Amino acid sequence: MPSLLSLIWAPLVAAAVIAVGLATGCATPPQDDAESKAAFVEANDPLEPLNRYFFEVNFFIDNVLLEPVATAYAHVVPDPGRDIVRNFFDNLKSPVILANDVLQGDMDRASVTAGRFLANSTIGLAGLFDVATHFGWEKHEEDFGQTLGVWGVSEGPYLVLPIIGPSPPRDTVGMAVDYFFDPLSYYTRNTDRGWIPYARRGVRAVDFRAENLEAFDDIERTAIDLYATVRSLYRQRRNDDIRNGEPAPLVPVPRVTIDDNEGDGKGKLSLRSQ
Amino acid sequence: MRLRGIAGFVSAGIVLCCLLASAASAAEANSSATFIRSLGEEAIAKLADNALDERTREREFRSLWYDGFDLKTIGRFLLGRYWRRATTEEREEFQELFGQFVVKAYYARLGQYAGETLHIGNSRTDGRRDTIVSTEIRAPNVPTVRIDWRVRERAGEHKVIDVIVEGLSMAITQRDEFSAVIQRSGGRVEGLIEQMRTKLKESN
Repeated sequence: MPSLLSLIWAPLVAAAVIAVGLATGCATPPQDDAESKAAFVEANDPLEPLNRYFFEVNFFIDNVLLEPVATAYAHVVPDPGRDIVRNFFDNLKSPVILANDVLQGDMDRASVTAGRFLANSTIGLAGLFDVATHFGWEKHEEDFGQTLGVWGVSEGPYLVLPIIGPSPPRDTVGMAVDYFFDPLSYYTRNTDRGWIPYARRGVRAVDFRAENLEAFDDIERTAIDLYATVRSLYRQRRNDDIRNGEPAPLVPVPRVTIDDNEGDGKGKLSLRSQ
Repeated sequence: MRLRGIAGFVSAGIVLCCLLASAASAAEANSSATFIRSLGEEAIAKLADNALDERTREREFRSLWYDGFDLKTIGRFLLGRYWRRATTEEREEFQELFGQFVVKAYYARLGQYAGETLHIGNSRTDGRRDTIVSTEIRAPNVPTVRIDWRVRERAGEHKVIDVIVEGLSMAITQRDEFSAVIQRSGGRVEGLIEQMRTKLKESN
C-alpha cells in the first residue's frame, strides 16, 4: 500500500539499516559447519539481528495498539458494517490493481478489475457495496511488488521495516511505485489532504487485523520462533500472490532411498532431491 | 519405405508409452483423490460430532494424524539438513515430540464443526510417487478455503506428507522455523528438542 510516509521512510530506513547494520546488526555467517552455513544462505536474511529488533518493535505496537483496536472494532461493528468499510477501501485501490494487471499482461484480470471499479463505483454506491462479485467479477489483489515478481525479479534479502512490517527490497520498491499509480495520491497531495493515505492505510490495517484475530492468535501461541515462522509465511504468501493462487511448482521433498536402521548415519541413508 | 516404417514404429511406441504413463499417473492421481476423500469423510464423521467430549475428540484427531500421515517422511523433511547429524536418540525423540506438538497445535485450531464440506478438485502428479490433490473447504457464511494435500504412495498405501492451506505449506513453514531454532542453538538438534519440550509443557 503506497503512502508518502513510506516514500520518505524508505531511503531513511535504508540508510539507518545500513548504518546500524554495519555497526551491529549484520548477522555473522556461521563459521563452524556446513549445515549451519547452508541454513544461513537459505534464510537469506543477512540483517537478521536488526530485523528481529524491528519485528519485536512491531510486535509490541501490535500488542498495545493494533490488536486492541482491531478486537474492539470486530466487537462493536457487525460484519455487514465491516464489509461496507472494506468494500469502500478496496474499491479505492482498483486503479493500482488495474495498472498492475496490465503491466503483468493479464488482460482478463484487467477487464475484471475495470468492470468491478465501474460497477461498484456506480451501482455499488461509491464502492460501499461489492455488486461486481454477484456479476461473477471476483475481487483480486495486485501490487507492483507482485508485478516485479511476475517479471522475474527476486525478492532480495528479507527486511522488516518499523510499523510497515516485512518488506524486502522488491516489495519496498513496489510500495513506492504503487504510490504513483494511485490517483488518490495526486488528489490528496494537490489539495493538502496528505493525511488521507495514512488514514486509509490505518483503516485497512485494523480491518485486516480484525478479520484475522484467531489466525494471529494461533500462530503466536504455537510458534517456537515467531519471527522465523512469520518470515516463512510472508515469503510463501507473496509467492502464492505472484502466482495468483495457481499451484506452486513442486518443491523437491528429499526421498530416503535406503533406511538408516543402524542409525550410524554413515553412507546408508541417502537423501535425494527429486 | 523401411525407414518410414521404423520411424512410424518408434513414434507409435513413444505415443503408446506416453499414453500408458499418463494412464498410470491418472490412476495414481485418482487413487490419491479417493484417499483424501475418505480421509475427509472420516475426519468429518469423527470430529463433527459436537456431542463428543473433548478428550474423545482429541483422541480421534490423534488417530487420524497417526494413521493418515507419513510421520517418518515428514519428520525427516522437517529436520532437513540436520537429519544427518542428529543421533538416533535425537531423531526418535524429535519424531515423538513432533507428533505430540502437532496434535496440540493443530487440534486447538479445529473449532466446533460448522457444516464444513470437503470438495475434491484436480489432482496432479509430480511424475514420481507424489500426488497433489486440490480441495476446497466450504462452509455457510465464510470464505472458501483452498487446501492442497501432498500424498505419497508407498507399497500401495497412501499417506499425507504435506498440507498446503491457501498456498502456505505447513511442512515448509515448520521446517523453516525448526531450521532457525536449530541454527540459533548453535546448530544443535538438541536445542530444538529442548525448546519443543518447553513449548509442550506450556500448553499442557
